[in-house]
Amino acid sequence: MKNFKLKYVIVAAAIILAGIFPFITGEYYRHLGILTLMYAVLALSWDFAARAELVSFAHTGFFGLGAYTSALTFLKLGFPLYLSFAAAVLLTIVVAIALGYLTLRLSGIYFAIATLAFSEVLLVVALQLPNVTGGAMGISVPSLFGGMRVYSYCLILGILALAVVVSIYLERSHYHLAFSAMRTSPGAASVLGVNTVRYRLASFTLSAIFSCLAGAFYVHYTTTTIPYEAFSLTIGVASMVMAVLGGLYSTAGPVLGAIVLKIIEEYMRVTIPYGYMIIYGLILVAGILFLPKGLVGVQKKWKFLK
Amino acid sequence: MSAGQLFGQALINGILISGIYALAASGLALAFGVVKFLNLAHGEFLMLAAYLGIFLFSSYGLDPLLMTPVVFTLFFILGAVYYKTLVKPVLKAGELNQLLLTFGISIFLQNLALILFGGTIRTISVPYRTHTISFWGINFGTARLLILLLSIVLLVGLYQVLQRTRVGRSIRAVSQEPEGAALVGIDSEAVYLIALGIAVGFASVAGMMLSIIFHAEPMVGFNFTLKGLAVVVMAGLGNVYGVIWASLILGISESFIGVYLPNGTGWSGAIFFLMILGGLIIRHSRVSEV
Amino acid sequence: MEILKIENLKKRFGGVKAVDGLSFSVREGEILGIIGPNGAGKSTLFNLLCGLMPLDAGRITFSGEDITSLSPHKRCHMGIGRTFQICQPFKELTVLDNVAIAAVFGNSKTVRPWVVKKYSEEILEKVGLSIKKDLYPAHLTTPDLKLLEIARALATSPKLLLLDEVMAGLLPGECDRILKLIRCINREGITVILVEHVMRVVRELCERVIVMNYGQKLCEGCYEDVAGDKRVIEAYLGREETGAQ
Ligand SMILES: Nc1ncnc2c1ncn2[C@@H]1O[C@H](COP(=O)(O)OP(=O)(O)O)[C@@H](O)[C@H]1O
Ligand SMILES: [Mg+2]
Repeated sequence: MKNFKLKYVIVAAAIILAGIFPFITGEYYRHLGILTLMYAVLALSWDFAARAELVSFAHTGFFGLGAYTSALTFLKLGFPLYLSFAAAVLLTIVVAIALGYLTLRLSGIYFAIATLAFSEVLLVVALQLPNVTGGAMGISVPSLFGGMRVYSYCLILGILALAVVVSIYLERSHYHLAFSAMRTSPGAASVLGVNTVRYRLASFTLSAIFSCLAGAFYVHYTTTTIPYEAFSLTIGVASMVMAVLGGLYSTAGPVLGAIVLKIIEEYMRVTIPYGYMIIYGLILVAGILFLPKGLVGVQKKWKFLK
Repeated sequence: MSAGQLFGQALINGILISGIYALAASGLALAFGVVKFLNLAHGEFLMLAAYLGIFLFSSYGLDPLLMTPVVFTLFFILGAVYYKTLVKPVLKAGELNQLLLTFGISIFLQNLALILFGGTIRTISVPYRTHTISFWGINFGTARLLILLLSIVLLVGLYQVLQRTRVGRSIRAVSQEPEGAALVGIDSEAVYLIALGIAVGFASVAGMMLSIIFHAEPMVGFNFTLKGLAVVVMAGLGNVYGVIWASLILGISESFIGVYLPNGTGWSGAIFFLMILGGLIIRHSRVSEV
Repeated sequence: MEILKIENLKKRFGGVKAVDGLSFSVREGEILGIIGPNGAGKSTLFNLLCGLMPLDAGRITFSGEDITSLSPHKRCHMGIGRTFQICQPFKELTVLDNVAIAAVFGNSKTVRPWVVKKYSEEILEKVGLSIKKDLYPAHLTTPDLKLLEIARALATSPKLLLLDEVMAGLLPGECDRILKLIRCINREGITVILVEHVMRVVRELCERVIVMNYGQKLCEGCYEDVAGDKRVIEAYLGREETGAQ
């Protein structure tokens, strides 16, 4: 019983800390906090797809799609901020369903390759249509909330909170049974009545929506982006590695992974300015070989948090 | 240059480049077909070999093309070690883990190269780099021609090995019917090792070629993984034999798009990805989930 | 009345004709036995019936409706339940959750969330697994895994139950327990197709038996007729000879 309470104490402390963080720190840490939260959204969104046994490289594509759609509707069509976000989400849903419809019939490896191709095609399109997207020069938008980082922090915290709520709902409702069954044996799941295609499509779309939101937030927050950044594979890589490091198929895992990895990355960036991404490769390899359940899994082995 | 010559030049350029694609892709196809393992780090071996080629030439004046037998042997061993240490542990662990692991290795090697060699593009000038032979007003780069010939020799060699030798028959048996092969006493472990050795060895030869006609930089390998995937997907995953024509299609269509579309070199990147998407969707639907 | 009718069903894998022009129908309420040597195509037939594999040719009618191209979950909702020859428990879920998932997703009428637990427990009670409901499949014995397969199928409230070698590898006493269970399931009005190698079970349960060989129907009839048929004996012996080579 005592252990049971400790878990809630930790969660409560984390929430309070996340809430007061921007008010007790300076600009640099605020900025770092914002990026960490954004990556937590991405990692969680990657996990949404992973729960349906989908290794997706499309997150890079949806992140960039979100960034560009939101920035362009804001700039060229004069949409207010929230509408530009909504437009990005709407387009993402359409694209995700279309892409999912085409690719979800493919089994694991083929799906991964197809999503990789999708992200790269979007990159080329962004580069090759300079009249619309600004081409390699990229796009600039006015800074979010007039550069007030506290507000930006609240916005991205809100998006993360939404993702967490969705994630917890998926974990607690009967859907988690369906996902877990599909991972073990999709055939058995489908003859027991699980509409596997629909759940794959749903989790893929859901995960696309949150990558898109992260991208839309990113472009307004940093005020400028170029195709090589918004459609950088690094984004997909980071979300994947954070989820694997923290622990797949959980809510706390990806969030924890994002925090830990962002801290490590920040440290590495100072020591090795070029090639700090090496840590992502190392963690991915080590995580797969030695930590199949991620940090959350380690934590479960230490009985006290159970 | 006449329209006909332009067309001919584009065609020849496409054919000349497709040799490297075929070499890079056949390794990927071999690993996938035999070991049922998709190696997303395949291109990084190519990249490492390209750096090695540049190092050999600039430090010791050794011609990369002449060094291919040595490099192939070296990378064959590297491939075998790679199999033993990293591939084998995840072979039974499911597709998701394989993809993530090899992708992790790919990121690791890219950034290792970035740390060791920096992000700058490196080239060397072998004496014949800019030499060309002309027929009917169409230029054949001597280096590219040599490379295409070497690719053909290697690929034909691979097919002969697969068709005629004991090892080759074992490899084909394991790729077609793993259980049956085990029943007739074929050591699948050894076959996997050899297949991955050859795959990595071929990647290294393609890398040496890159060092002559192209360049080395940390990301060059991943590009070839992606192009290799496009070829392999078009040929049918795991189909070593379809690789040649698929490489030709890729090389020629890239070359034509580069020549005839406005700002075409930029679009050629999208083309091979559309080939992947199209090829996958047409070819491989989820048939059975049992 | 016919509950299931298949006409000229065909399925090949490369050069192997796993199911080759098979036709038969099943009466509502009966227990139909399907026997045949290994590789005869029995499991493939089940895969075609529940929609896990697309078929090459033929037609499947269930309760008067053409279900030939329906996806597996829809067939499940219509009332086709099955077990797998090689048990496929969801290893991340407890025994109770393994059944609950079938209860939640497998019924055409939604089972309300708050009754799922009770509903699943009742089914586990029926097959005799209630005391193990909180265990994970990794801790179950072979007979228990088979019972779990049956329990999951039952939780989808099937009208037709396809049982693929549920007795394989069990001791005689364990067989009797499952035999009684199948009889009890059938009395409740569930039609059963039973693929089985244990002949005693086929004899005791099935009114009608179909013998398959090389994907085709070799013969059909009551157990005594079929067991005495020369062709059937040859089919089994013939396979054994080739197997011994
Ligand atoms: N997924 C599959 N891929 C290829 N061949 C298969 C597959 N499933 C079954 N077969 C082949 O089809 C034939 C029938 O198999 P199966 O239906 O399992 O027979 P049974 O259940 O009667 O023992 C066998 O020759 C088997 O090798
Ligand atoms: Mg069988």
